[in-house]
Amino acid sequence: MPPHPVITFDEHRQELILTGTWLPRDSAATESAKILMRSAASSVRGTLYINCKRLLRMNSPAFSALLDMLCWVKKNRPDLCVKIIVSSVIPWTERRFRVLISLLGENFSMEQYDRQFYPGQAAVEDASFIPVLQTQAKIIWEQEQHILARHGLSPQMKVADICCGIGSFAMQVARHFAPKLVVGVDHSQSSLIYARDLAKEFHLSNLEFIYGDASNLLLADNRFDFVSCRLALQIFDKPETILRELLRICRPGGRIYLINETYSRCFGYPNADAIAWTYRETSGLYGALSMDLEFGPKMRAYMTEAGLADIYVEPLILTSCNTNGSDFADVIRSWETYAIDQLARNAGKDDAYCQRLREGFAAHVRSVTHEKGFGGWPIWAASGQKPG
Amino acid sequence: MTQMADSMTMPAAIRLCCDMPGFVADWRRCDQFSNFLAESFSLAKADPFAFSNMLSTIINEVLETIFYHNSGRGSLTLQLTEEDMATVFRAEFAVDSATRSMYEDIVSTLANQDPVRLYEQLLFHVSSADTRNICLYEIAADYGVRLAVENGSQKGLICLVVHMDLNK
Ligand SMILES: C[S@@+](CC[C@H](N)C(=O)[O-])C[C@H]1O[C@@H](n2cnc3c(N)ncnc32)[C@H](O)[C@@H]1O
Repeated sequence: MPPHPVITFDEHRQELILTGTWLPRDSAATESAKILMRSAASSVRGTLYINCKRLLRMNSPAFSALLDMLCWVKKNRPDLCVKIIVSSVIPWTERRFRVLISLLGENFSMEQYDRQFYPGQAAVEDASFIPVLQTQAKIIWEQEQHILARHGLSPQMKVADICCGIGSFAMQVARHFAPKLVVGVDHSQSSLIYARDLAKEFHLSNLEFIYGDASNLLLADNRFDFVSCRLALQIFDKPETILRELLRICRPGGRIYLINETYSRCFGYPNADAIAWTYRETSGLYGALSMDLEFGPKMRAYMTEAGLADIYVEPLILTSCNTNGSDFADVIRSWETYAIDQLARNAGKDDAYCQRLREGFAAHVRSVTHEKGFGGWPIWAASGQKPG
Repeated sequence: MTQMADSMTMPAAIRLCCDMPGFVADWRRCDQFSNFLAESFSLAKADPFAFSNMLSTIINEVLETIFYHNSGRGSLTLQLTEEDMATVFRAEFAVDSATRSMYEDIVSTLANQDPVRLYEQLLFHVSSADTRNICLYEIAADYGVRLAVENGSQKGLICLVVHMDLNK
């Protein structure tokens, strides 16, 4: 039988994967799909997964074909559980399958895979993270704007900023690099609301913010000239999955641009030891949520593995000399609030520990604001070309 | 075929007309029209992709129903508007009296009974030959849309009206 255009069966994972748009004219046009799905359902044990993460549209005849298999399972395989996996990014799936599952009864369930799909998700998507992004954006852009041309950003490009957060970078690119289009994607609704308001305020019409999952982007292949993903690969436990998606949406010859940190190496003088302790610990607290805030120097390896060419990595080290000291201090204070209120408290750390963390952050603030002090934050910028 | 929008970026209303024989000649028109209407209408929405994905899904179901249930004559006029925070889709086309009754029955049944129960009945207890109009029950049950049938602008025409609350 030739492969079905919408359905594939992954035997190993016991997963029927439905992808794209499935709009058959009538039930006669679903015969091969029915055969494929039934044979899959008869071959598995335990749980059959129906993966609809990328199922963009489906009509009634297609739905009936799926139902045909589900009813067959209900009647003939009472030993089997069926789990339908949907995505919050495709809104109809959750609503349609919720009703179906309620009608099918026991053994049938639905899961929204992107509700809790990596350990630190709730923390990063929470609105409490917005102040961190706001203050950071201000000091990073001052330096970053000067390196972007070196990494291949030029006018008239189609740019995607994946994990765009509150949209500051996408907006700055739209304002200063004359792009054809900038699309920002993020999975935090609260950040996206902020981003869209910002775009409205600046009357930028070549800028669009969409809700999406970086590991399952619904953007077309080869669509963008420049794909950025900033301070984000480091928060995923499987960065290679995201990198693969960045590569897919980038056109051959286009460039992928990443920035990531070595957070534990934030530095300052005086009180260098207290500062070093606090950042090592905070990096560890992020690590407990499977986030790797030491990812910066690993980018080259990941990019090479992903098949990128012409890889270029450089430091983007922010210091109290190349940024405004009081803005830098605001960033550190926002880190402190987040590290103590969200990370340390949730990790069950005691008051003494939190106090010691505070002292390190306070010392860092002093180092970047004192006239004789010096402090910094090491970030690394990397880009590579998608082979043509 | 015509498209009218109040402004380039914020279409408050979009209208699309074609002749019915042209529409029923090719099944893919359901998909093409629903995509075109939904994408154009969603341009100015906060999340154009999510809005248009939901909207095109619903419009496609309505068009697939009309594809099978119409007189085959005259024209098909489709219109999308925003009314009191709801998105409203109207389809005007010619029907014979039996088809008109079919649409009216569906609308009054849905207005008086639980759409999910009705949909369940059709889904599990009726043979597939009788379920060509299941799409209308389905969009009422799954997406909570409200349906109405109004007289068309001329004799022999009906206007199928679909109210959707997609801002949730
Ligand atoms: C550390 S922030 C960086 C934001 C932005 N790039 C910046 O530099 O300000 C990481 C961002 O990744 C987003 N994110 C997390 N998981 C995501 C996913 N699966 N898909 C898309 N965005 C995601 C978060 O909501 C958050 O806005």
